[in-house]
Amino acid sequence: MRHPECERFFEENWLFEAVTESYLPLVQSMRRLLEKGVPGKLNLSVSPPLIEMLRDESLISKISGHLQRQLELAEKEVARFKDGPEAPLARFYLDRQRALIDTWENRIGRDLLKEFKALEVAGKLNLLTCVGTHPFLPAYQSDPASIRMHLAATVSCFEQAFGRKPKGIWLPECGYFPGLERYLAEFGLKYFFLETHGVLLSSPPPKYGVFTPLRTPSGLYCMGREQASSMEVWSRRTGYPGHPEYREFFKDIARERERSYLGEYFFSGDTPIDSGFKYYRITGSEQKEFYRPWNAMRLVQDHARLFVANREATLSDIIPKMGGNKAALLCPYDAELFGHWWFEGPLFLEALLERAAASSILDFTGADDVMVSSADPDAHEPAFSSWGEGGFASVWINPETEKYYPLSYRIRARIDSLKRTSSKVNDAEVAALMQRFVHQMERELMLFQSSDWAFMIHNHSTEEYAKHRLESHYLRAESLYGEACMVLDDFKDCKSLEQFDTSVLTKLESEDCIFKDCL
Amino acid sequence: MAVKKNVKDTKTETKSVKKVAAKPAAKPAAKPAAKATAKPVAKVAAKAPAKPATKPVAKAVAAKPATKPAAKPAPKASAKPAAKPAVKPAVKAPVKAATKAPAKVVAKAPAKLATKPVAKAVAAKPVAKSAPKPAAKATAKPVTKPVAKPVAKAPAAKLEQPFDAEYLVLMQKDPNWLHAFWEVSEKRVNQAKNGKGKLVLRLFDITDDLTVQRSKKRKFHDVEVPADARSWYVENPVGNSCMAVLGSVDGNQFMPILESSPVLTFDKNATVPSFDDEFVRASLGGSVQGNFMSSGFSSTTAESWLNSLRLGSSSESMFSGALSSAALKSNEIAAPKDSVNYGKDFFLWVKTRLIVYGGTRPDAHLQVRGEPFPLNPDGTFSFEEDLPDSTKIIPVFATDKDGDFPTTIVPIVVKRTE
Repeated sequence: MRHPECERFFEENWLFEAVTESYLPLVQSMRRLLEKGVPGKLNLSVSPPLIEMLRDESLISKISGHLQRQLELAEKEVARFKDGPEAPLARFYLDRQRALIDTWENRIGRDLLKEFKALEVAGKLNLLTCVGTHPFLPAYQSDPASIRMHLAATVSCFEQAFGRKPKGIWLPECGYFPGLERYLAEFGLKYFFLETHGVLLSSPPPKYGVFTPLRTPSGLYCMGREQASSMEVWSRRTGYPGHPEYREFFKDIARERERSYLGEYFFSGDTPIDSGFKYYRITGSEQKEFYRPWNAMRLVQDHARLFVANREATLSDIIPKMGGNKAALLCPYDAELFGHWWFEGPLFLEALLERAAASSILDFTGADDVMVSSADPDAHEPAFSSWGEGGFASVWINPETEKYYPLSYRIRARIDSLKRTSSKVNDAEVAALMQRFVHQMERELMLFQSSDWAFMIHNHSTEEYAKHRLESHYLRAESLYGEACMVLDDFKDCKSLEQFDTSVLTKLESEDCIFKDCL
Repeated sequence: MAVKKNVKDTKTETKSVKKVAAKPAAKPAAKPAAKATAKPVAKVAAKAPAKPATKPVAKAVAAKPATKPAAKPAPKASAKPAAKPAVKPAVKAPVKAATKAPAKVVAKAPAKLATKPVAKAVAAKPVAKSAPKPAAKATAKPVTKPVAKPVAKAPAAKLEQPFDAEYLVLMQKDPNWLHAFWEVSEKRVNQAKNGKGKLVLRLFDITDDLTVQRSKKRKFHDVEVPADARSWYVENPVGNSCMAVLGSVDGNQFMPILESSPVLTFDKNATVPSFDDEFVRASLGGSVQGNFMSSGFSSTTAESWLNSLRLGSSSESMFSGALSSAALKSNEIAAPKDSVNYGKDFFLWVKTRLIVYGGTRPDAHLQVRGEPFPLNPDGTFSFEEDLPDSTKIIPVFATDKDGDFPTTIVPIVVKRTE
């Protein structure tokens, strides 16, 4: 997501929200734990596009700008509500905003990647990554070149950001097809994660369910999600984030204050953009009551205690049956759940680690330390699976999205043909130019293959944007191919390098510059 | 919304008739029409396995180039995405291959779902390397638009370039269905058919053998597809891997045109772990076990097993209901110390049960081990379960009716037999 051409681009706001509502509060929580000497760590998957975005100067300064716009609004709110039930909330948000800005500007120097790395070194985080531009890999089983392209970019991108090769990888949507692990092994990856049935239906069946890592034929390890811990958080009906005491997500002041007061920054066309300031709690009925931050924070402690107790209950049942082996339990969630969707989420995580530190049964540990052995001696091939609705591919491969996959295979065919043709070019400069064409086509293909587009189409949310992105990346690949063929023709006609028209290439290299240094 | 529903219907439909060999991929072929046709199509497939293809698909495909792509893409092409990147090469391509570009289009466009990107792609495609070079930039512009038309009109032109995209792909949608799609020049199809052959997808079961040698005799079955289809649904063959060859069949003669790479598929014959396996139950969230026990599980296939699990939606509540009685059943782990057996002469066994009970306000919300637990009308609750040698931790969590007073109490019971 990168639109340098616009001062304020709606979709870029997703990044701003993730940074200001999830990553920065997470960093603050981890720092507090560190100060208190609380043991235990979290595993955080930092995807290659996120790495790219967090390194992008234009986005970094936009994040600073976003925090400032929020600060201005928070100050106006304090002035607006001198007393009344809103006053303490306005004050709360102002203080909080200042702390966030201090964290971003001063404590981490606008460099989240460096901070993640520092927290890893300090033993608070275990960094994982995700695949390329987040392709749903089962769709590309017949296109190993694309899978390798994404993985190569992933490894290179991660290494540049964190100074080491990634060991663990989160598969986009937990999408797995039999044989995928072989490609992961090629790139030096050591472990990955699956949906529960990906493990339970593996061949041969696992000996201990999801409670120990599974060794795959290539010697990698994988783990499946444990369902109870997921449901406790995710369930719409009984999940913790839906508790009436917690902050209501959908009542943002951007939807309640007059436009002239908010300022144009909080609008995209006529649609208000969430400011992040919300004054109500879920309440449990339509008549929303004012949010009580301190009550919510006390509840977080209770939920953390409950979560740990429930895991202890499961483990104390399981462990005696595991023949003297340790049990492991995987509880994965979207990072944006904590903070963005569930405002109190980062504090919950903080409380969780504190609570677990006092447990004699479990601890929160890094996957690097767990995914090195298994209580189950056999090698298993996991089953085709995903964590999407239905458990397989229907969220991403369905009648609304099916027409796009052939386009991907067509771009692939074009890239292959261009590679073949340009391998015969005996001029070093022209060969290098062809290499640039190939790489740019690969960038367009990677952007095309992001599963987000199919997801948006399937969900009918920002569907038009998704279709536009799919179509434009496809067309851009075709245009590049066209221009490359022209150049080759000109070359045959003995034209000199300066005479080649590479305007499409030049333009797209600057616009779709993801993995600029990774290809 | 409507679409989703149709899709679901389609699925259930096809599931109930597993023997159907193929279902026409009406959807990918005719995008806008798909919504309306999805359901009926599936029905046809179910009832008339041999032909279902011809009718619905023919309609979809034929209708397409004639009306939709021509009508739709054109206006859009000039609209947004094309505006930037597409226009340029389109302008250039014809300079190279002015005469040939439209011809090329023909070979291509029907080959693809003739959606707008394709139509545009065509415009963008600079073909013909060997083409003569009319220096005329004038030809450039007109070509961009008319492109769409020849698609519909003249399916006769030929222009074979070595870098035509050709592929046949098998993509797995779910345990039962694969989506096959391909792109190949009409000329090659016609050559292979040689007038009378029928176009088929030949599916080879290559289970446990990825070193595919065509000479080797192996199991296959043919799925007939209309000559102008570019995608098809095929049933996942029984086995763990398969590949497809698109070709023409005339009697016993098979003329291959294109082959897919082998794909490893969901193995419907794989051993399914039993629900009786306590690790499986625990993996799925301990307290749901009751739901499964009642469904006579052990003999079912992976597919129905999954259906009964209702797995996979991370946003929906997967399992409903409180702790069921089955959940509280003994887990049959024989602790050696609690029973002694001297054959027919004498025996003794001593087991323990655990009763957990308590009370709160009748309108409170109660959870036991993370799952909602029903209260009696007077606000009391209780349950009983076997207590083998173990440490039992039973988190009980309650709030009042508004979610206030969140309160957790965790009884821990250690039982040991000596």
